[in-house]
Amino acid sequence: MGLEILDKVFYGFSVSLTPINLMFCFLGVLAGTLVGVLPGLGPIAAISLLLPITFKMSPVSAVILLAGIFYGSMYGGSTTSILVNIPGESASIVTCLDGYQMARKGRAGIALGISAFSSFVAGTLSIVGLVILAPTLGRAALSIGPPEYFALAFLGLTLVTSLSRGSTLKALIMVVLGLLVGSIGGDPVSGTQRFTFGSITLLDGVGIVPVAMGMFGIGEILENVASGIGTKDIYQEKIEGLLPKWLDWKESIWPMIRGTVLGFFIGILPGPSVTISTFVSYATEKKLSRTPEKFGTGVIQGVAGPEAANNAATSGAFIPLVSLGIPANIMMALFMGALMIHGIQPGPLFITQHPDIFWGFIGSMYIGNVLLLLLNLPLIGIWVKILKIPYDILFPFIFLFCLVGVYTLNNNVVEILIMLLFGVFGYVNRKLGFEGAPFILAMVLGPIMEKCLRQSLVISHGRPEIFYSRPLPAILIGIGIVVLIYSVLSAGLKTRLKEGE
Amino acid sequence: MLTRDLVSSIVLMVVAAATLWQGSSLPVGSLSSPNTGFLPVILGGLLLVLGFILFIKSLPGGKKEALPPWTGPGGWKVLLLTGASLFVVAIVFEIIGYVASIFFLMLFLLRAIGRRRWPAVVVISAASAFGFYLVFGYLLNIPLPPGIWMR
Repeated sequence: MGLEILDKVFYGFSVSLTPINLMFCFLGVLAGTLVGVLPGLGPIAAISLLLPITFKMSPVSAVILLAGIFYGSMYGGSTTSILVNIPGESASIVTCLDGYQMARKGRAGIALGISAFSSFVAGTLSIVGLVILAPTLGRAALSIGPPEYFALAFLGLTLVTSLSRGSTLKALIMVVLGLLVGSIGGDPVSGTQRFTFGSITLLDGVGIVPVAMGMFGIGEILENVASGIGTKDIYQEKIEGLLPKWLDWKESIWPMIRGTVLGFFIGILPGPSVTISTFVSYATEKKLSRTPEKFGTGVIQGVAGPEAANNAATSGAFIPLVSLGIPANIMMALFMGALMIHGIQPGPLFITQHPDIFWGFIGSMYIGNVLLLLLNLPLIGIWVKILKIPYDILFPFIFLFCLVGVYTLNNNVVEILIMLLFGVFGYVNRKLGFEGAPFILAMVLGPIMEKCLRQSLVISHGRPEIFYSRPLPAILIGIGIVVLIYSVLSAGLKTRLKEGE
Repeated sequence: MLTRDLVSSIVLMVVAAATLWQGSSLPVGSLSSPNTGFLPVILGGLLLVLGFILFIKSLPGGKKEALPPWTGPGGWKVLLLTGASLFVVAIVFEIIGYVASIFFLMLFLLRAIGRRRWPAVVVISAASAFGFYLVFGYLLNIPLPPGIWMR
């Protein structure tokens, strides 16, 4: 068994090391790092922009290129989080919390170094998991039913609520608003239209790409413009000491390993699991820490854990697609689209029928991770220079990429308008103390949650016992409720303590 | 006094009421066979409750949270000009085409917001319009609106 896998991995390397595939792997991770670095331009936009050109390539090259963008953006995304406190994409939101604080304390180099190494460790270890689990996990994952999926989504939402910086009440309001926007369009069970108000664009629901680009991309632009161009606080000092010291390694090796394991298994689950995995990893490290109050002030564990988690989760996210044919997230859906253009149907037979694609892609992920380490550590200066472009020149370009990216999704101007409206919404929300992350997460999870909730209720004939009589949903919902109560109580406690002072 | 939280809470309760009203006009179904309106009605109810809690908290004497100022040193004028120019581009994008849209938007943003000097503004705008054409239109062959004069 072991030798057989090794044999296949070598076969994978022989596919991925051909000059053409090596080139696409390099282009993929390069593009991934670039879009990860540029705020307002995420991997979803990059993949959707490049999707049309993959139609002319061989399927192996197409998969290698697109995968490179996906995991490459996880490396690049942390760079902006650490240096400018702007997450390059949603999976790097958590890295801002401690990464940026580390940079402000003059430890930017260490933060960047540990985040690249965490990504590398998690990336390479999780591929082993993917190789071993992808063929076998299909059967086990099949037994997960609607109540389990609902419970998972519920837990994801309570976690994002409890992790918000502002008031828990406002985070909850954002969750409900996100679920509401997610419910626009066809009902996920029957397909009946609701809240479309006669708009053709809204028939398919509000797209996550325009909303995310609007709230995080355009909202950010407006915020920066209003706060005065040129005063933008971009990290100016020289970055030194990228190689973490022995103490840094000692402090971050366990968060890295825990992040890898958590990220990999959470990544398998459907939904924005890559982002959720970073939140879960951060929360875990904070709970396990002897000094949880220091989280948010620049502790290395707060960077190592989530950065490992998001890379491990990208590997995990491939499992449902290659073993079951179910895309776990938007990126995987785009992937599936790329494969199907070539007449390849991902599913239980995918690995046996297309060993060249699967194993070639596995081989390319190893090579890609090595390339990324080289791209992100010695060449960090180049990425920082991209960040140092004066903001009044940079922001029109960010807008142009958002504009072109959103338009190419469906060639629809209405989606540009949706993006801009959510940009205004994002700006106003910041000024009213409401955060964007719970909204986006709820919006993506909404349709899955609704479908699973309704299916569960139909299965149980309307009795809610189905959510607490089965062990997995009971545990997950239980944790969610405890987390929610805890964050409400601790917020009340905080204000009372402040008043007492 | 009309605080921002008070205004938010009222807006939220109005949205909640509208959701309840719209949601209940859809087939709601029952607990054992939930239908299209099931989730909207639940969400409308939840939003009403949460909005009401925010309303109570925002009344005089309630616990307040500090909110950031509406704009920073950049000010309203810059914010509104930027926002408006983005909306204008979205509207004319398919009519005048992407190359012209990109050129004029860059021209406007670099000059009016960035306050760069004219030669630099023109060169960067022209270069970016050409760059987008070269990469997206020519090399990647991505279908973008050519505009009325290129048909």
